[in-house]
Amino acid sequence: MAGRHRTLHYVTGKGGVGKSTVCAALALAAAARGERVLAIELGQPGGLRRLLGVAADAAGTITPARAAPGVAVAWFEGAAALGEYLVRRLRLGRLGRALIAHPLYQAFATAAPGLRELMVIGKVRDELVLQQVGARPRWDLIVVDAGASGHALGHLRMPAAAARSFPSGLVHREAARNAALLGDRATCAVHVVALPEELPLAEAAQVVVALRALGLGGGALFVNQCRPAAPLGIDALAVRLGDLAVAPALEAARDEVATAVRRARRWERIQERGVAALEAELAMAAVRLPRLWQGDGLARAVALAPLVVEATG
Amino acid sequence: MSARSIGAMVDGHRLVVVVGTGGVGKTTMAAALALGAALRGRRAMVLTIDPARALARALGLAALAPGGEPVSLAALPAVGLRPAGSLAAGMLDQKHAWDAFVNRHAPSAAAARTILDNRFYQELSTSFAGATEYMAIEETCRLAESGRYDLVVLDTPPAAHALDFLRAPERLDPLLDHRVTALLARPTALAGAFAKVVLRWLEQAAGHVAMADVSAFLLALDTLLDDAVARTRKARELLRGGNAGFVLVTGPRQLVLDETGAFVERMRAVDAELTGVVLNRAHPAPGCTAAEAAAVLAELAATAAADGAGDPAVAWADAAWRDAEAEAAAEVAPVETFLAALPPGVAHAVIPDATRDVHSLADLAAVAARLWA
Repeated sequence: MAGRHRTLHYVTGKGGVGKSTVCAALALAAAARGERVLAIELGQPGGLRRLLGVAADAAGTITPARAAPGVAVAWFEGAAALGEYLVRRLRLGRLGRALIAHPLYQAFATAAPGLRELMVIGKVRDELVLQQVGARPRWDLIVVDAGASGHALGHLRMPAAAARSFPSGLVHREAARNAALLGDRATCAVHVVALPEELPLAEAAQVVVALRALGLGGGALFVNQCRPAAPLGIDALAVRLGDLAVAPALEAARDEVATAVRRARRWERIQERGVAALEAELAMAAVRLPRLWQGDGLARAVALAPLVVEATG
Repeated sequence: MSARSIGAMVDGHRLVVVVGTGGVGKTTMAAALALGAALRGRRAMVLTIDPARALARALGLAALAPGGEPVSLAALPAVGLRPAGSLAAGMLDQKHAWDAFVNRHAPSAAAARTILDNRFYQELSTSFAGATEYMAIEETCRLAESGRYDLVVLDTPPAAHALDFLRAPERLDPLLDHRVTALLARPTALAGAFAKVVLRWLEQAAGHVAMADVSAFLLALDTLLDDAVARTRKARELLRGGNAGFVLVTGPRQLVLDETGAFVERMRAVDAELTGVVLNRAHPAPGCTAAEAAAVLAELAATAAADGAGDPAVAWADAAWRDAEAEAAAEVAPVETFLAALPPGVAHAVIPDATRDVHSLADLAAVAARLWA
């Protein structure tokens, strides 16, 4: 299987659209194929680790997910990643800790833009490329929950930007290597998740356009929590439902059901109009994921896994 | 609903910060709180970071002006509302705000120029994590001090960053350190042996050119150091210990509520006063039993079949009802657990889901009414 599909997946989208669920679906599907999977959160640890049932650890710690055999979870955070990474790269050993605590280093790390983001990507690259168990890479697949779109874009554009800001030295070489990894379409994909509503769809379009401008296009576009498209005649039926003659005891229930159907139809219209406009604007097909209510987040991720894998392979 | 409304709590504050995870409707709530205060006679201002176009339109602004602009409330009497106060809205332009900050605090125009022209400053002012947050606080400070407003409502970026937001003043500390600039200014004379090691090491990592640029930037920054330190201290005080009210916006889903619960904990840890919680886009339990609804749907299917109306439409309506029922049911337990865990004295409001975004001042006033209910 190795080498047949892409091994590094970033997932982004507006807050609350289901990024963690898509990440978990990708991770669970790969683990089910027998692959060793690392799921990474950037910045604060959050939804993905809760979904996979892993308690919060220190930044950088890799913890196996009990609820999902074959999947391990980590969260990478800039300041910690930067220090750890530099200490290892420069083979500083015990001196490294003292260097990193030094006010000069602190000032430098704060002032130099994107350095932390860069090092986080460097750490992801380390896990993907350098870590080996025997002759095999340690991970077959890495999934990164890159956070809300503004944050993720800032993060993903950093290697190329840093390669320009730092014309020489170790940082330049790191930045160039990391930029090459992100831009390698055979290895890395950035997927965007949206909800079938006006604002999340508009934001998804902007993000895909921005990713393409960075040379990071080519990932899938998911629209989560989609309703089934309404069949012909639904509006006539909704009217009929509202006027339906029922026993007096059922009148309140009829109004309740009629309201729910009308609301569902309004949302479905917003969805169909919005997804069609998005697909036209981006000239690509969106992958619709259904609304699911059964079970917990993990169960939903399992249910969505086949659809997600088909779109990201 | 709690004893005191969120609105009543906001009445007692001059500065309110609206926080929450992404996509929950923070910007709308921030605008609704400011409008509600304006309706009650206060001079209110809402400062947003990334407003949706629909909201900018609702506020009657083509694009929100960076410094804030009065919002015409002339449309409100038509819907029976007579605002006794005034409303202003502004959007933070981060680059502009940083430049203004440098110009204000630099000792001379030449010193300001040196900073503004530095390559690292130009990157820092737009891409430094926490830069937006810091500038939002700085702007809010200035607005609150200007005396032009009785209430300033600040909208914030999503919660992963809202903690950055509370820490933003601290995050600048490493830059504002005289020891560092002293070392960079005269490294050979002043630096101890270890500082020299650090310098050499940084140079190795960053390369000579970049290191020289960073040093130049830090040295230039030193000229506005004392002023800026005083400002960040003030900004810090403004946010802590009850000086500012925090309104947390969240949604009724399990994952969102889990994230929000963790956020409430972190707020407590940094001494930010949680004033109220808005549970936005909730789906209340249906007002009929499943059996009653099933009877109605069976009746519908029977009459539709008699008239030859389509089966797929009936099936879709049936599924739509079950979906609505399941959605409401899925919200009950997480919402109860979340509300029960809130610290005592925190007000909360539940805003039902609507199939459209806020598109007008009247829409916004309707949301405000629920926040003061």
